[in-house]
Amino acid sequence: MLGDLRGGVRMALRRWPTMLSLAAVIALSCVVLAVLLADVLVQFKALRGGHELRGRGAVVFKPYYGTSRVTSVPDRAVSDLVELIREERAYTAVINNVRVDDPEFAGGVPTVLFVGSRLEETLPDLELCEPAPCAMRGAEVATPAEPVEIAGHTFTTFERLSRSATHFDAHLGPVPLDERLVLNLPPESLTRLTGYEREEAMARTVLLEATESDVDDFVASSAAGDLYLVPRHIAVDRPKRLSGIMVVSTMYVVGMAAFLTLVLVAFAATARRTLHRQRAVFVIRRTHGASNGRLAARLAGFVGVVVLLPPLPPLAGLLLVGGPLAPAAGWMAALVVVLFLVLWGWAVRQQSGYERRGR
Amino acid sequence: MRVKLLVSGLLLGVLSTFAAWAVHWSLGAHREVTYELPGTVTTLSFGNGKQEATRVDRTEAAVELRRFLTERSLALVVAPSTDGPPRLVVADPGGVLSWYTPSDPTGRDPGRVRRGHVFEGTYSQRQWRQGNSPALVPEEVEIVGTVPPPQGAGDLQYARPLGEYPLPFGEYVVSTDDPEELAEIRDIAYRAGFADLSTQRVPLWRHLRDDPLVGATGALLGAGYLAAALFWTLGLRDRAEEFAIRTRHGATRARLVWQVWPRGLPFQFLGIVGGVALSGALVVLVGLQPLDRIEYLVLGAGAAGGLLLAAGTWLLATVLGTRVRSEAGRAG
Repeated sequence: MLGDLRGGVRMALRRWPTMLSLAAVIALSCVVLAVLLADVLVQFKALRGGHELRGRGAVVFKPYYGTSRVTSVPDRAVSDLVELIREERAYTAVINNVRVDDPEFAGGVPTVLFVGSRLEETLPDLELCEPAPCAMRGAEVATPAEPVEIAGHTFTTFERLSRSATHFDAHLGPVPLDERLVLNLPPESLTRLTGYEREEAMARTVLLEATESDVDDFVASSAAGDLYLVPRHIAVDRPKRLSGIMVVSTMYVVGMAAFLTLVLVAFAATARRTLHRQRAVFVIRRTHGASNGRLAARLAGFVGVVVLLPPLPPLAGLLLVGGPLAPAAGWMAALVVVLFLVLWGWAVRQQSGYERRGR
Repeated sequence: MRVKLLVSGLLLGVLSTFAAWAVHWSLGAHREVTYELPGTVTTLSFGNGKQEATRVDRTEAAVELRRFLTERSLALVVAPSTDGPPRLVVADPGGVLSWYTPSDPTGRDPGRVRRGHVFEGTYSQRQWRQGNSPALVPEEVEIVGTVPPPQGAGDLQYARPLGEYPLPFGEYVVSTDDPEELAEIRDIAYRAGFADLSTQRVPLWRHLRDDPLVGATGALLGAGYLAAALFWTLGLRDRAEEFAIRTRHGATRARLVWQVWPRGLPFQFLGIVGGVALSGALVVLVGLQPLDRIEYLVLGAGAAGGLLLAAGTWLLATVLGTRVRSEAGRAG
């Protein structure tokens, strides 16, 4: 059996120009995949996030600041928002401005605040801790050494978010959370946030199933504090920015799919051609009494040396080194193994097909 | 081979459309927003400076700037950058802005500067039409009519004339590139306590190079064509026996290429056009925005570029694929 495996390997090596170019294609697709896969996964989530926002008739806001200092969002506006979030008709997030004047906050790890139970529901890929207040850390972040304190809550335990967990914001697009801390706060803590945090929380508010007067009240109460929020009803106004974000995501996802299909088709065509040329060898072996198992082993050697051998060592290297490309390398390695199994099965069938046709 | 060319053409069509789209967007982001100011324009960015300036200084600066613009007959549009309400501040003494047509353009009326015009189709216009004072328009501005929004206005709600109120921060788009005139404007702004925050414009090639979307779609496109070149070459090798026989009957290599290459082109053409149409449909479906004239042009450019690249790659594949090796004669 082992001899058959070796025979298959030799069979492949005899066609080294083809094999070399195949190895090159595989290496090429590995590199492209490793660099782009993480982006593509994030973009895929963005596509779903945008779709959900549209489906739920969400209203989002584009902020304009009337003064060059932090706007003084009136308490009434904030308490209105707290009420809306309590009634589960809104959620909000603070992404860029959490403790901006304290770079040492949470050990310097960028932190985001989420407020509102509807947030998790609108982003089906994101699994948040419950009940608020509670804290999580992105997959790449270690638990902070010191307790993290904000808005009167102190966090010491941090659940780990799944890898490439992503938040979606209608203006920012996908917000990867791998390298951030996530604090899930109850609505009433909004009143205890700093000026910049309150300002951003108002601006990132997403109103769900909101009536026209809800929107008007919200806009008017924040405009009283020089924070001008231009409302956009996602399903009706179809804001260009969100369209752009979603088209970009489509370009990543569909582009990657098209490229992979192209590589797979090229790959299968090459393997088929090589097998076709080798069919005589297999017929001779068969007539000399080789069993199905032995022929399959020979084919495994042949396909394996082409498909498995060139890409696995560099991928294993990437996995061992770790870093941002490691998850993509893991995925790619899995893909290569699946590819090997599929091609092997397909090669065995092709082979028996040639035999049956007597060619 | 036909099916192979069709299928791979389709996939390459998708990839080249996306690459063309990414370049189109990158160019759009690089282009200056001019708010439809005709002719040469310069964008200056003014923010908070270190020098002391009172509200009175800033108001005087605004009056002075308006006088200067009227003297030189220059048009100015101020858009909010990081700070500022959702409005454009306009000075158009020459009447060159086609969208800004207030009823009293000469501006002799002293109450004029308080009057603003809401942009059509905005949230504020709806509120104004219902008889309410729009929430996004500060109290000191009185809305007296509507104007169509200029290109690039985005979410901005209204326009008001430059006048006797403090000079605002923001992006100053002015219809000149004369250094002397620009220096005068900077000088006035300095007296209002502003600092010139204008940044050097990034050259186009560097902008394109640093655009991650252009990079990603370009990498996919390039890698896709490499894979296609290999795929087509190996596909042609299936016909090695035929090529060997023809060679023995006197066909030259160039002749073989010339026979094979044009026959593949229609299938590539069909495939790529199909791919471009498919991705165009996808963009419309996902973006929920109809394509405009320029976007159709982008699709066309994607198809043309993809076809050109594919024809070149196919030529390379035919040259490599029709090579008759001695072993090809023995194959089969």
